[in-house]
Order: sequence, then C-alpha cells, then structure tokens
Amino acid sequence: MYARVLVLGEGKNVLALVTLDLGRPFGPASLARLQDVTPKCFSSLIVTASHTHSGPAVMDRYPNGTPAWELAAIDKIGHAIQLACSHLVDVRIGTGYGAADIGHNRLHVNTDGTVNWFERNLTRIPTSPVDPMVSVLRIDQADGTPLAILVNYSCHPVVFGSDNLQYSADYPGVMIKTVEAALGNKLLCFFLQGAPGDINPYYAVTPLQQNAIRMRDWTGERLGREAAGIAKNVQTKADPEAALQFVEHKLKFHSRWDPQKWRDAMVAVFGPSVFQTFPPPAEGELELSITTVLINKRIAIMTMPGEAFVEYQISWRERCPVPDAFFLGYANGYYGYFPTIRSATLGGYGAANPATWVEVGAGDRMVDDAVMSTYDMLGRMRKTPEDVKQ
Amino acid sequence: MSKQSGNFAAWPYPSHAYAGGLWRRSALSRKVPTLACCFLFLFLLCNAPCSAATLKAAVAKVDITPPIGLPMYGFLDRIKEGKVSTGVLDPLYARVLILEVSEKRLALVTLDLGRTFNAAGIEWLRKAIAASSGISFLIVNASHTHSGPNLLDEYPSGQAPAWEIEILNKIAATVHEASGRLVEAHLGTGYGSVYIGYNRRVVGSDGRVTMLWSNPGMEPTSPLDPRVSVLRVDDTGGKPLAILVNYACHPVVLGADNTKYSADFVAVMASTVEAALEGSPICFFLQGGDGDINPYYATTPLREDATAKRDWTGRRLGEEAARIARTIRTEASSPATIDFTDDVINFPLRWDATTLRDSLLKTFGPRIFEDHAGTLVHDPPPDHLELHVITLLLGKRIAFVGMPGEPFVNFQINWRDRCPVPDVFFLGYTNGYFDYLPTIDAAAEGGYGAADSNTYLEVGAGEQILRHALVRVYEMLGRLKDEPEKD
Repeated sequence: MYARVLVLGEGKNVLALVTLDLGRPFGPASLARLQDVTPKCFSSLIVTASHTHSGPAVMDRYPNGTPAWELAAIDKIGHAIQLACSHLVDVRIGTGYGAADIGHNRLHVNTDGTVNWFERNLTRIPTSPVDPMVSVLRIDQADGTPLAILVNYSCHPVVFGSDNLQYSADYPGVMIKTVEAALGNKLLCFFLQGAPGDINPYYAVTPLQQNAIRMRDWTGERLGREAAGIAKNVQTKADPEAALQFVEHKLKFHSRWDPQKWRDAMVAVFGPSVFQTFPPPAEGELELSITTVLINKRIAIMTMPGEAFVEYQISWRERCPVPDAFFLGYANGYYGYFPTIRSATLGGYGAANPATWVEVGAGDRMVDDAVMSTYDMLGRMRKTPEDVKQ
Repeated sequence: MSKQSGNFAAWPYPSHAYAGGLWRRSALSRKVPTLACCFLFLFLLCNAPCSAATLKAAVAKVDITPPIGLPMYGFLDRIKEGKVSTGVLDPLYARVLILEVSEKRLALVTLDLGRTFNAAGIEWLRKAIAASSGISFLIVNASHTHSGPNLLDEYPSGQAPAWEIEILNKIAATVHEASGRLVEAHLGTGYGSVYIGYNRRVVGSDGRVTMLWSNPGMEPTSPLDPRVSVLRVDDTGGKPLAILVNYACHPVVLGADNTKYSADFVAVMASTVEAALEGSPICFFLQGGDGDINPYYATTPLREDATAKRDWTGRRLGEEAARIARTIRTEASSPATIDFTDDVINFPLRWDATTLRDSLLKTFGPRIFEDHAGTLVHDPPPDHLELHVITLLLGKRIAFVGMPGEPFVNFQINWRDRCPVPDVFFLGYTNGYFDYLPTIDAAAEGGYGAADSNTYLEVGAGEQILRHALVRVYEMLGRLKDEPEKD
C-alpha cells in the first residue's frame, strides 16, 4: 500500500497532493503532524484516500494514542513530500476524458419510493445515477516525458469483502499498475477517488473463494486501460502564464441527528464495538475543510471530507466555470457520507442511516463554495460593488 | 367537530330499528348487531377527526392608495429629484386570502406596493392579526410596482409615517373581517405560459454583461420563465373565491416620469382575470423571481403611451391566467393540511459593511438609503442580516417558498425542478426586503442586481435559502426522519 506525492509549485504557491491507499485520510492530529514534519515545504496540502476497504483502520482519535504504524507512515510521507519539493522541475500539463463502465449505483429506488441495498451487480444491470467519466490529468516534464498521470473516477474499492484479511489497494492498485505499464513504467499514476458514496463495483464484496482477486483485476484493468488510452492522447503544453491557486475554507455545519439517537443507531447497525473504529458521536457544530485548487486558470479541483454521492461530482462538473473539473472525496478529513437532499429523503445506506451525520444539504453547500472559490480565483468575483466610488 | 357530533346522534337509531325484527332470535344473536354497531361506532369515532379536517377560505380586498404628495418607490433619480406623487392612475390594493384547516389559520396578503413593510411593520401586523383573528401564519408578498409610495427600512423620525400605519391598520381590519366569514373551500392548480418580458442582463460572448433596459423588439433572451402558475380557490359550489397568479416580471412598464400611483401591469392583469370569471373572484398577483426580468415595454415614457403598453402587458398575462383558471377543476384538499415555517437565517454581507455604507453615501448622496440598502443606514452598519424564509405546503402537494428580496429567475426555475411535490409556487418580495438575490453565476458575471450595490448579501444566499425551503418541504412531507435508520 502506497502513499503517492505530487508537489506542484508556481512562484510561492506550492501544493502538496498526497494520495493514500487507505480507507480514509488521517485524522486532524496526524495531518497536523504531517505539516510539522515538512516545515515551509508547501503552502497547501491535500491528503486524499482511495477508500480501499482492505487497509488498516484509521481513526480521528485513538483510545490508546496514534498507533506506531500511522506515526511511521506520516514520517515517511513527510520525507517523500520534502524529497519531491527538492526535485521540482518544469512541467507541462494536459487533461483528457473518457468513460469506463465498472460500477453501478448501489441504492436502488423502487417504484414505491423505497430503497433497496443493491450491493453486487454481477449481470451489470444499468443503474442511475452513475458517472462513467474517467478524468485524466497528465503532467509531463519539459521534454514531454510523462511524470505523473492522475486518474479521477468514482467507485468504491470494495471488490474485496470482509472475508479478506490481507492488505490491498483493491482495484485502484491494479488500475495504477496498468497505467504505469502502458506508459513505460517511468511515471507515477495517482488514483483520485471521486464521489462514490452510492457507487459500488459490479463485483463488490466478492468472496475469496469465488476468485475475488480475478474480479479485482478485471475491474482495475478495465479502468486502467481506459485511463492509459486517455493519457496517451493527452497533449500537454507549457502555459506561459502558469498559475497555481488554492483556497481552503472551513465551513460550519450542524449534526443531522441528536447525538444520543445517532449513538444508538450506530450500535444497532454496526454493533457494540463500532466506536473502536469510528469517532465518538458528534456534538454541536462540525467544521469541515474544503479546498479548491485552480491550475492555470482552467483546471479546477474541489475536495470534500467524506463520501459524497455521485451526483455531486456531476453537479460540480456542470457548474464549474472552467473546462476541467476534478472532484476528490475522502480529502483532508472524514465526516461520513454526504447524500444529496433527495437521497437523504429516500433513505438507505449512507443516505439516512448513521453512516451520515452532517446536516442534510451539506454537500450542496460545499459544491456552491467550490464554485464561488473558483470564480474568486478567476478574478470574477468583485471585491467591491460595480457602481460605487471607493 | 360537527361530523363527530353527527355520528353520536345517528348511532342509537339503527339499534332501535333492529329491536323487533330479524335479530330477536336469540340473546347471542341480539348481541351480534350490538357488537357490530359498537365496532362501527368505534370505526367512525376513530376516523372522524380525519374526515372532519376541511379547508376553509375567505377573501377580501382593501384600497390602500395613500395620499398624494409622497415620495415614490423604485427609481433613484425620482427620489433624488424630490419628485412626489401627483395623482392616481389606478388604485392600490391589499388583497387578503385566509386559509384555515383545524386550528391553523394562514393569512396571505398581497400588496400593490414596491416592497413589503419593514421588519417592525410586518411584526406589528403579525401580532395584530394573531390577537384579533387567530392568524398563526402570515405571508406578505409585494408586487414590486414602481408606481407606489416609497417604503423605508428606517424612517428618520424613528417610526412609520401615518399613511403606512393607516395601511397596516386597514389590512389588519380586513384580515379580521375576512376571518369571520370563512367557508369550506376547494383548491385546484393549472399552468400555462406567456411572453411579456425578457432577461435584462445580456451576457456577451466575452462574459461581460450589458444591461438591456427595455426590449420593445421582443428579442429572445435567456434565462426566462414564461410559466404562469395559477391556484384557484372555490367554494364547495364551484364558485371561484380567489385566483392566485404567480409570474416573474418587474412591474415597471411605467417609468420614472410617471408620478401617479399605479399597480402597473398587475392591476390590468387582475381586472382582466376578474372580468373573465363568473362569481366575482378576487385575483391575487404573486410576484416571483423577477430580479433579472423586465417587461418588454419597460419604463416606457408617458408621451409614448405608457398606459397602453401597461394595458397590453397586463391583458396578455391576464388572458392567459384567466384561460388557465377556467380550465382548473378544484376539489376538496385531501388531506386538508397546512404546513408552514417562517425561519430566520443569518447572512453575512457580501461587501465590507462600513466601506459599502461610506461608498454609497459618497457615490449617491444621503438619500441613497431611500432607494436601496436601507438596512445599512445606521452607522456603523450591521455586518450580517436576518432574513425570514417562508415555506408553505398545502394539502401535502402545493408548495410555496418566499424569499425576502428580488431573486433572479433561475431560482424560480430551480425551485420547480427540485421541489418534490407536483405544484410549486415561488414568491419574491415576501416577509421582508433585502434587495437583490443573484445566483452565484450571475454574481460572477456582474451587472445590475448581480454585482453592484443593489446586492449586498453574501453570494450564495439565494441558493442557501432555496435549499433550506427544499429541506423544509421534505420535512413537512414526513420524508426526512429525525433519527437514523437502524436496519
């Protein structure tokens, strides 16, 4: 399992992007530690997880302190960031798009409005909404040699189920190998998990005795082949007016549930040991970190600290005022599921069960915030009214 | 309660009728009909409260034309030049619709005025009609005519002028009078479309906005919402009591050169509808999301026959509204319910409040707060503002949202797209006034009401209000639970 580091710099603005083969990003203390071990190295940090379910449990707070493996991982990632920071080279950037069909919407809405849990879809029955778009950001060195391929896609990495007790990045690991091999193995491929809050792979939770490894490989190779095909066709170019901007906002939200009702439901759904791997019940206001990045005034990246439903990714792409829009879930924190307002009323896992606990509509507000931040970075939000003298 | 009493009264008679006949064969068999009657009684008793809930309605209309000689609303130049009203083209009215289900009583008041009363005025009215008429919910919606008297957030004397107090008293008295003659009512809705206006913000291919202040050539523009939404309220005999017409268009056919009171095209629309329907209904205009929508013949100079253009605009809308209204089949609301919320949401200002206030004074002079941004008149100005957001759901299927300002038309379209009930109405200028509410995109594009001093609430406020109302409707429908699922 890897952490991959991309450092992008333009002038004083330096962004460190860390992708993790983990279920969720580290908690606040570890993210702060990562800042501490990389002094003055970057001005904005995004730590995003692939959401593999075959990794170690990560928590905001551990009953007995942060485990040694996590402290060691933080130090290693810090070292990798510093290494990358000290090896910055001129780059060219390009984007490309395609489509891959590896997953389905796991919340099936019946004609009577009830929702069924549609975990596996072995016959690949069409579902909706899904977002088949594969978005690729290619970063080349000045001579055109590929340095990094970033693949943004929305699908839960849960081909492996709970019977698997061996660490794995699940299908993203295979996707990455496929892309790296197709482009000569002299680059790093990053998986940017999108908004898979309601999206499962067709072969979700395949038992090991039913050849889960093969299903993982099929899923990863299918996405990887499409991503590699896109990446090969991307024409990168150096922008004479290169620009790197980012905005981080802390947005306050209420808890959706009464804390005691949430605690009771957590225990009812996940069992009495749930709080050994989950944060304790949320009290009062929650403060969520949202980062919006704008590269060369045309490539926008928004983050959400949790499991966004796929319609948010689609909505972001539709509303984002620049041509290239990337969406990163599981970034810079973890606050459970972000269902759309309509999904929250329909119900189902992640929509109305205890796995979602931030107020209804939080995801909409975060997309609004990213759209506004993008306009702001484009210089299109005036600081003063048009019609008054200062 | 009357049906419950009826059930009690009717119950003994069948029992007596059976006493000497078929059911006398045995003691046991005599018990059977008795038991059956008991079950029937219990069944009726249990169901009586549901069937007893009926919708009742009453309507009224009151002339609120103020005395001439007052400053007029809406055009800054007219205010700065000190022009005052000189007469009456057509009277200004407040129209009142009372709806009642069980103990819930709602008053909808529409005004032929530029905006609603200030917070103190609305609060006074709310308390007055609650005390006098048992009104639990109040909606005040202004048509936004620019040919009415000016209303201010803060009056120099510290209290509302006599004419405004008189209007408020008239409305309170009208609500009280109407509340005393409620009748059982049926509701129905219908939809159509009409083109009387255009989007006055033209976004060029370079992204720049040019304001198109009139469009007599009727050039197509976008976004625009031609939808005419009609809610018809009948008595149980099918006689129309009220026709509510929801449409988005600035009532500004008459421009700043007009100094006579008028409801603008709205008056013509209302009279067209009222004349077209038998039974003398009252026609209400519910102004929608018209923040960027003008009538084609906006601000027509009087010498260019502005009144004829006003009449054309009003008749065109009125004829379509009447056509829709005639086709509506009203029915008893089932379930007969009224769900209502009036929530206060705090919004920070988009601009630095002190700088904005100073800039407004420097640019426009001291009378600027009589035109817009009236809540910023105090020094220092507030850095956040409290907005009332109303959500109304009738019979679990007709939803209204009310925004306290001038929302851009895309909010109205978005509300209709997202609201989970079949019938949706969108009200601007409702229960307060905080100038323009542009969409995020429009705020970035710029132009009047989008990025000038006529808009000062944080960008995204309109989106947030819409989301809030959407969540409220889902709650009213019982589709948002207050605890997580446990299965």
